[in-house]
Amino acid sequence: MYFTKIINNDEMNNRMFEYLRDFDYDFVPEGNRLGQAGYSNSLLGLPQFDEFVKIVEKFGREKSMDILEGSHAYKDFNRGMKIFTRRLYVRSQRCHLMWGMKQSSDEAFAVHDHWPSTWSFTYYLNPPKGAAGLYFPEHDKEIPIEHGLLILFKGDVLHGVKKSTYEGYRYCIAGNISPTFT
Amino acid sequence: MIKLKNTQDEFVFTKIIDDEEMNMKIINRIDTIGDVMNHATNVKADTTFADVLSYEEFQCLGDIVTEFSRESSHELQKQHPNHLSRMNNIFWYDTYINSLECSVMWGTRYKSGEVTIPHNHWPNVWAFTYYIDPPKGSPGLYFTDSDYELEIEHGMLVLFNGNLIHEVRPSNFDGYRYCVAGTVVSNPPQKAL
Repeated sequence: MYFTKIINNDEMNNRMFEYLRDFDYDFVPEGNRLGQAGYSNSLLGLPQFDEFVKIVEKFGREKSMDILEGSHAYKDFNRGMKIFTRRLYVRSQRCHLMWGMKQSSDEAFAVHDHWPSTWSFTYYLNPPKGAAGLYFPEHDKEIPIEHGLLILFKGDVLHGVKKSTYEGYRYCIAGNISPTFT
Repeated sequence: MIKLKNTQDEFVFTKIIDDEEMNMKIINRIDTIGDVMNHATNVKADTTFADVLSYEEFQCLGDIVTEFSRESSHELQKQHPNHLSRMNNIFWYDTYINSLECSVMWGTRYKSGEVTIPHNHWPNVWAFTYYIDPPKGSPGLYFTDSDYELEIEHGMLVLFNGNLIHEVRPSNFDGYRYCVAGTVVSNPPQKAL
């Protein structure tokens, strides 16, 4: 299951795009063997991305609430249990990891998931014409990408990027959301 | 919203725990607390509050569950070739495996014919059940979507994905079917890559 949303906030998108465009991509996380993409540093806490983090977290909480309200168990809860569940598992959800990626033409990204994160997301800024979308192999479905597209999916869903040919660079913001427990 | 049929494999991990002192204390505690939920949750049997981790014997079980969930999470990564590299990734391990922790636990006591309706524990990473002296003929743990009933036995700890729908179906037996159930969360710190 995945959810999409277009974010038409030019000021925010431009801020984030300029950061990703100007970043020096010379860092590859330890142990990463999934693809040739360049990784940014952590984007959490950077002022250019603060507004976006809030939007993504809100989207994750909304969709979590939709799922809970559709479940038999939640429907059967009394008022107190519903409040407890919402507070513990929905309102506590935070983006705990977020990074930027820069891919060039003909670079693929191997299928993987983000388990045990509750949600994962990707967000696209000015993708070049012909750049591959986000591919879900278990459903054999590729979601075409466009500027301002946010894709939210459960953390255990396998996904990847197929090789594609285009001019310029394919920038993507990705991250994970989970409830936080203190 | 776009709904897709999920074809992902699901994994259930089991372990036998041999600690009769802990078992005896757990049974005594469940009997002493009795039913405080009035069958108002998905469990239609006597159920304690979900705060029993404050008792020493449940904390002991919680520690075993936490360790088992980390071991099982390690095993799970072997199921996909592209996830093998995570096992050597200290950052990933610290963020997602070493932060796994048994968070909530409750005790239940079923009489003959009592059930738990189908439910899951999403967004918890893992859910678990633990059985002490199940009476002959008492129901196992039924995984609804897979149409699979796991036969239970004394001292059996069962760990499964938090989003897996499960239930207890009715059956006739003598005595009480004691079960401790709970959840495991991942509590990843916000970190730089």
